[in-house]
Amino acid sequence: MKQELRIGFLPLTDCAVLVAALERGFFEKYGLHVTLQREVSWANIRDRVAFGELDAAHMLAPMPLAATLGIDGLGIPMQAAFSLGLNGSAITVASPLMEAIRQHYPQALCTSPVRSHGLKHLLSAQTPRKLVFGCVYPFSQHHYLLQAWLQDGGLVLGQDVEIRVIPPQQMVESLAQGQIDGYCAGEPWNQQAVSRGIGQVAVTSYDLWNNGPEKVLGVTQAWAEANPETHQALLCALLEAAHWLEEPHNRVRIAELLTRPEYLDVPLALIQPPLLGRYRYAPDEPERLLPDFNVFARYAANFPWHSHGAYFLAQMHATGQLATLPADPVALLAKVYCTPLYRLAAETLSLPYPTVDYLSSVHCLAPWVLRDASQPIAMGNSYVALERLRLG
Amino acid sequence: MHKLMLVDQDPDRSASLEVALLAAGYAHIIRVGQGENLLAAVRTHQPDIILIDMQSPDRDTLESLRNVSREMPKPIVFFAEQSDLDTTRAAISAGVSAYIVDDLPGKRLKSVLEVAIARFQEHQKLKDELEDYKSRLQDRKDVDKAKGILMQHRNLTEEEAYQLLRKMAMDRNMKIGEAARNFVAAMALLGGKF
Repeated sequence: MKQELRIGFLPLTDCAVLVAALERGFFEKYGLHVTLQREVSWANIRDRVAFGELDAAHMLAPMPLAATLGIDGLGIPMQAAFSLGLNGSAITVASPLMEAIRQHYPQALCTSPVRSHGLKHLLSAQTPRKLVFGCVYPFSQHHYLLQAWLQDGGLVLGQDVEIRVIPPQQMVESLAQGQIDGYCAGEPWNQQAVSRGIGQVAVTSYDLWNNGPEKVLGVTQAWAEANPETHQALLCALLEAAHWLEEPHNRVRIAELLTRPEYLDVPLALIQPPLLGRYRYAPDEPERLLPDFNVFARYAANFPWHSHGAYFLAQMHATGQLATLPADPVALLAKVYCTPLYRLAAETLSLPYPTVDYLSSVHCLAPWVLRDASQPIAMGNSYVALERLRLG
Repeated sequence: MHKLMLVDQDPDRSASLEVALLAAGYAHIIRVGQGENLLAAVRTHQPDIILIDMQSPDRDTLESLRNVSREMPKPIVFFAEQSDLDTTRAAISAGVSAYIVDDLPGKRLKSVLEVAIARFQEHQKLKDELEDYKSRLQDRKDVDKAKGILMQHRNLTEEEAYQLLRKMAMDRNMKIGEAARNFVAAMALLGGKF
């Protein structure tokens, strides 16, 4: 069994499961000696995993699918058997724009979630100009959420608004310099803009999709085939780490660890409150309570749902990333999102796991229970706010 | 003649790579440094080949050009077009990535990448040597300090103090510099002024 592993990550709060597994000794417990390697771009993550310099990595949930479909620029097939959590990102809009909406179209801010109609009104009333929004990577939930949110308010992509890819850690600076009018990214990069007073959060990913997909642990298919035992050990370590992170006092501890220079290297005040369910949308507002802003294990959060994969396929097609839908999506998703491997790890740890691969579209505004599981699993809200994001 | 663009945050490395590429017969070279607008540079210069430092976060932005507009150059990850796995692995491990624009023939590009890999590796070696030198210098300072404290407090000779430090480091499976730093820090915590 391969024991020395290098795992890549980007400086984002949701690398917490990886950091917890390392710092709390869960990797060691399963016989793994892991080095976490911070990267600066998703392209680096893709290349280093594809060519074996990294064994595995923190990836945006659609990345392994894009790789297997051959549309990511490389086309080296990848897979994921573990989701690193749910929710955790947000759309931030430049403060002057939000203030202008508040002043001229206050009603646009009176819905939940806040929709983008206010931006559309501003564009129609002012001298015509194009807005520029940043997103972290083409194959990301952030990109799909951002497009859906902008279009929902009547903004036309290409005409009213341009979407530009910018790495998460550069978003705040780009906003400060006026290169972009807003962005969709994970934490701590929204809280940083709010704390500097240059941006306000319009909506969180949770507001748009209660408990939606976010990141996964990605490996190449070749690596998974060559290292089945190591892969299982890795999944077990991460499952334990994810459950450890659901204890509130452990969230306090992980927040402190994440501030270190080798991880996020930002002040605790930007990392800790969202992890504890307290989220600041604007500098002049009190924090709002969002207990599910970061979900690491509860609600079957670590399961690599095929329904999420099917949704990514639909979004890739709708956004023009994928010219034709695959002939056999069921077989493709089974290859990419490896539910049997997850179930095996959960079984080893005596944890409940879903027995189905698809989560039928429930639009639940209250917690519910998943009974298609080895033991019933308590689930959170499952509401998807925008029509464009709904599957079927 | 192909137009080459070098995107590197390290001006020394970028300059040395430019020299090497000029020597290899590439005359059109544009260097883009940190803080410059990469997209604007690509639009203005329309390079055929882009070599980019993997520590530069701009790779994701550069790649997204594929999906943007017709008039923009479309960078393609060089690795995707390459069957030569060894060169690709060497490039990734050296921390350099290459893009070709649209359907440029790949033959001569391999030599460009090889020149870049060699320069990046050489630069890394120099950097490692410098780091190593610096850390050895620091170790010596810290060991001297720790020795001084030991000599003063335990009335030891310099050689005895050194041997004691060495044993402490070995018992704890540490480097002697690290052990000395820990010792000095612990003594400071106990209220000593050193």
